[in-house]
Amino acid sequence: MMKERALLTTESLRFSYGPRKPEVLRGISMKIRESSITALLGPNGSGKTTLLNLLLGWNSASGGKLELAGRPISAFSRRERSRMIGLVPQEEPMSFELDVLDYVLLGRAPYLDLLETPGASDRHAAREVLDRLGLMGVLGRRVTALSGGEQQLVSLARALVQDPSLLLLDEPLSHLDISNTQRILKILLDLKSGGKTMLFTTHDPNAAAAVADTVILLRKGRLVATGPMEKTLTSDTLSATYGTHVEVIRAGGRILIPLHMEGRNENKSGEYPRM
Amino acid sequence: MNSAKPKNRISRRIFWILFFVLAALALSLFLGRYPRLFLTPFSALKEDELARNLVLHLRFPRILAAFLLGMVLSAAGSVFQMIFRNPLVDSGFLGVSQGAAFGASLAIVFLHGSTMAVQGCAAGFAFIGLAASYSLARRFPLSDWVLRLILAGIAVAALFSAGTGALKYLADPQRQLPDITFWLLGGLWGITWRDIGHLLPIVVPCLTVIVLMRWRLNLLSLRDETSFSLGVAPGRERLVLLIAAAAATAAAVSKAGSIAWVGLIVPHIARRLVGSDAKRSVPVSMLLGGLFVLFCDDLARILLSGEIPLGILTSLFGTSIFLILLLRRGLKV
Repeated sequence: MMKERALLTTESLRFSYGPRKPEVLRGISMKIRESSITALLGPNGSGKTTLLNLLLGWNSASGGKLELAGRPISAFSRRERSRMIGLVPQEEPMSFELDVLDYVLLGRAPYLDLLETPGASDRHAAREVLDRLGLMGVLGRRVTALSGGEQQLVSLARALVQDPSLLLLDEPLSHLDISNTQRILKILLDLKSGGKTMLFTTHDPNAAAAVADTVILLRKGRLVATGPMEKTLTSDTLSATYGTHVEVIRAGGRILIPLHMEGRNENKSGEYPRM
Repeated sequence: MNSAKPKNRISRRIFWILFFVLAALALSLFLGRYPRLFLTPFSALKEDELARNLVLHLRFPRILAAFLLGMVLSAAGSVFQMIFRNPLVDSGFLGVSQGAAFGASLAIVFLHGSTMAVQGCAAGFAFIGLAASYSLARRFPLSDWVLRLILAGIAVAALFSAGTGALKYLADPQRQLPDITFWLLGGLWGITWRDIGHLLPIVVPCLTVIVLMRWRLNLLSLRDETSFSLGVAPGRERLVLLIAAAAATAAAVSKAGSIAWVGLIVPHIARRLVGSDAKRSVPVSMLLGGLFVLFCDDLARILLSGEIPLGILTSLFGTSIFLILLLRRGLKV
């Protein structure tokens, strides 16, 4: 059973890049429960990454309420906050070629003083996470020499070494093949059973349907719908979100969102053709 | 563990670098043109008072100054490259070096070129260069902070270069122009213990800050949102490191003039030898920078009976290494 306690709540959250700039996010009210996976969906430019940066505390809201574990996010010190929220960015441009272990060790920063460098216990923590993600084989390799899927995993490992309660993932599945997509989604499910709370942005509603407990749908900086995945991922809400007709198929307890191509793959019975 | 072997190799490399540094420092004391060309015999230090004075009061401070200069330029180069996430920048960015050059030229043309005026103006304008770049960057309506700083730095550097050009045009071609040219080529002639006394109170605290915060440079080379999520205050920490790097550079170039290529090339060699983790690459870069400038300065004072400007030699060797690294794909840009 899912716990009902909310880890993060927002109420009428607003954001603009300046006092005279138009609002890019408006009226965002939502709840993220502990030990759950939330998928944030919306077309390009709908404000997904902006919302992630607000939740992270990187941007400050221009209005509304944002609470983490019942306290306003502004009440947390930098260090407290970094021990609670971790970020896996969409891409991490690497100008310098760090080894996998050295890169993952950066995740220990919230536990180190300003002038401290990682010690044996930090290296132990890093190895443990790398082992859990099946990355011990690439320990001494350069991050830039890894495949896209491995780089995404290493980035996730860096955030996990931080041991945050809430993990924000910005499009963790972009540029990944099916095998790596499944690998990452499986890891998210494992992390959830280990008590972690995750919010990820994605362009793939099928990925949301596969793992998410809660779904948030955004369009042009406004909330279209939010709620439990089964109830929220409907043809109506997805069509309203993306501004095009989106078909949702429910079969055997699963939800599938096929690409709708006019005049192709249509069949009269309305059933999705099985391969 | 599969990373144990490279770590051993890295430790061995660090040991050899330390060995070469100590050997080069000791050997340089005995290298010169008096009492005889190249090697000063140990006995001369006991018997020849002039030789002893020369070694203790001219050669010794100069060797220290060369080593310090190399350490400062390489440390600053490492800091600038990692903070700007760009392996091709050094203190020439943000107008620090060009500000110093302008300040020195200004002092030579309008303040009679006394040593104190030249050094003071060079250091002052190096800082004005940094401050101008920083405040300009804050006003640019662009979102990427690094891009803003680099653009502002290019503009400020170009302005100072134009100013230096104008001062060269105004300078008396007989008296002042040679002084400006010589300063712009850089060199450590005439360095005394007093100069070292001026340098140390600025350079030591700045290098200490850089060495103590070196691991943070790895964090600052990530995207700002990522480093923020790790509890870093990217803007504040970057400013502290920039001020330390710029202050040390300003102090060093005010004594030595423009010394090119050290800050750009030495951090690359260090990263190649011990990896990119700033925890190791910054101290190794400082040692190698000291070694590199010491080697160039030894040649500068020995090769010809007259002094060869140090900047010419650092540029000559710096560009050669740069080209070799590029051709052997050792330079990742």
